[in-house]
Amino acid sequence: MSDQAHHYAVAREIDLSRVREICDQYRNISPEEALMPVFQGIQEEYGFVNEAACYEVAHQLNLSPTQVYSSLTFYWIYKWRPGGKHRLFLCEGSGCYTTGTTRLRRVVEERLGIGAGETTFDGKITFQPFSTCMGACEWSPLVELDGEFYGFVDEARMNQLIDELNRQEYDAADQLAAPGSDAQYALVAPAPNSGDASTANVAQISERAPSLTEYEAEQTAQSGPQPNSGNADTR
Amino acid sequence: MQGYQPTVLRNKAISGISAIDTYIANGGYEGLKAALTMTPEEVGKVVSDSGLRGRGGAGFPTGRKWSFLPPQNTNPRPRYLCVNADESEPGTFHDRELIEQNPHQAIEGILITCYATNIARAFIYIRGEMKRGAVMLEQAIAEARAHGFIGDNILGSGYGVEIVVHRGAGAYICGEESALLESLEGKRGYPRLRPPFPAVSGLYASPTVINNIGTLAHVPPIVRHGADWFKQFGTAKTPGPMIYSISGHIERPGNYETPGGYTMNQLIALAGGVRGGRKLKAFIPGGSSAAILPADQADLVMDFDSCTAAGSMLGSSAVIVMDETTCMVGAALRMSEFYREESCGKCTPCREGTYWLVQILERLEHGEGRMEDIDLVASVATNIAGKSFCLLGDSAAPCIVSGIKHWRAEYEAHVTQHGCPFRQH
Repeated sequence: MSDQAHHYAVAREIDLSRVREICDQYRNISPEEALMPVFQGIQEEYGFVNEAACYEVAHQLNLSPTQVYSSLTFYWIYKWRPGGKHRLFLCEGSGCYTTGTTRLRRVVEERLGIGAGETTFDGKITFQPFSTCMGACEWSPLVELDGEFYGFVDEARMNQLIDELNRQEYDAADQLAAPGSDAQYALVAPAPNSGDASTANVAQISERAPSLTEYEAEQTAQSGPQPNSGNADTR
Repeated sequence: MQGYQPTVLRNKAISGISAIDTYIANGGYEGLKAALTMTPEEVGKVVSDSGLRGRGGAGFPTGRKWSFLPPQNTNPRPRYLCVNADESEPGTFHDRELIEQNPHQAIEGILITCYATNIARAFIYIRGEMKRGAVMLEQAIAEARAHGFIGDNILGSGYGVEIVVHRGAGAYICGEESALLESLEGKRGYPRLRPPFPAVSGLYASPTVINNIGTLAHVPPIVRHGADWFKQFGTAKTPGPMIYSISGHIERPGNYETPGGYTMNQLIALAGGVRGGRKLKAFIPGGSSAAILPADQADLVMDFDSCTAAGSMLGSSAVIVMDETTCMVGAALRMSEFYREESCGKCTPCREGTYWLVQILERLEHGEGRMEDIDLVASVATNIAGKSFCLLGDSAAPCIVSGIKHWRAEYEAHVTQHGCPFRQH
């Protein structure tokens, strides 16, 4: 959750004039080749693609809508409905499985009250565990939150990450809301064994969990890379 | 290992090598300069002589792959190079480290390959999940272009190459070479029927070379130092240094570049031993597509031929270590779920078979299995392998077949105890 973290706009509609602009960036390559980059652009900007965008792209690139639709439905990165503002991925590949993702999944499901591929009802957090390996098994078990990798996650760290999301999303709302209004109550359940949630949580996580990039930078600055000894040595 | 300097993952020895100035200061692009003084045929011969084998999984000799291109007077269509950076085999992460930390070596390898095969346009197909890697590659290409290594007239030789980075959108099957071509053409990532092979009719029906990005990163040092230098590393049939991605129950998971010829025991020692001082139970030598081997085979030399002889395969050299707390049924279930998700659905044995593997294994893992399920799941697995359209189906079987072969008692315990003996509640 650094400054570069990517938060998705919570949009329900895709602006077709923006789709045309994205298509215009890829006029110099063949339409078939442009299909993937165009839809990646839409997906990254809106967090989803829809049928209207599909027709518009087909029209702009002079391809048949069937061809566009057939390609798009094949790849999992393209979502067909809007997701939450925050995306929480849990890698469940073979490497992460051996180091204990089953327990992490239970933590998320219990605390957010949502299952695989679901979004909290207020549209804040989407949870997506997937068996496809993320290719970062050296940090397993691995969690990706808003495009940032978090490695060696155990149950405590998972709780910490959810606490922080909770604080980011709902504490601000608390200050604005009048006592008794709905917004006062955090949707996300407090961590078990954290005592009085409202105060204990904040104290407990005042030092927030560093993300892998920050962690690595810090470690490198301290020790410098070790010659040929496996990058895990430095942490 | 003492005194061995990595030649591919050089970022482990030299910090900041992802920047072009550091790379050039440490002998970067010398291989390209050396190649440009030779004829393309000579470059191809050096790589053939070195015995470099594809690091993506199949272990096919790289030089031979290049030689399959039809002569240009018989096929005048433009030629393409497709670089496979769609690394999604569970357990594999050396290409990601290469791309993010030492991208220029990959680019130099691509440029030399293009020169040797007389190709003017290269595509790097990078998996959609590696967004950071794609950004790093784009940056590195821009830097290389500014230094005159990419463009119409490379270093005044009159020879020109363009490199395009193409991001995938999340599909394991696109690592299969013909599915990669389909995906590059903007279609569903379905594998193609062969022949015709890509060398004859690949991308846009043109002659196409497809190489793994990790393989091509070995090319610059080969061209610079010669084939004999390369052959001093590794074993006779798998020359050259080997990079292993070690993950799972290990003290220091990560990528380890070795001079080759290491045994599994040596690799475990190199990575700090099994996590928590526990006992080794099993290991996978080459990602989830390879058969699981029991701990008593840990003196196996980790090269292509030894692993095949032991009934497994080196594949993408992704070593997954499992200690005594690992449930083999659970692990097989997790891997089968992966293949069910990633099966493209083109052919029936793979599409239906992987689905049923998951159903039966789930039943076993949750204590609802019957004794005959063990043979049933083995039979389904062997009926996928060899009968599916591409290698994805073949990859789904080994983890189950080998699991039942070596740990049948554990499968039976799941039935008799009505649940997983390893589950901690």
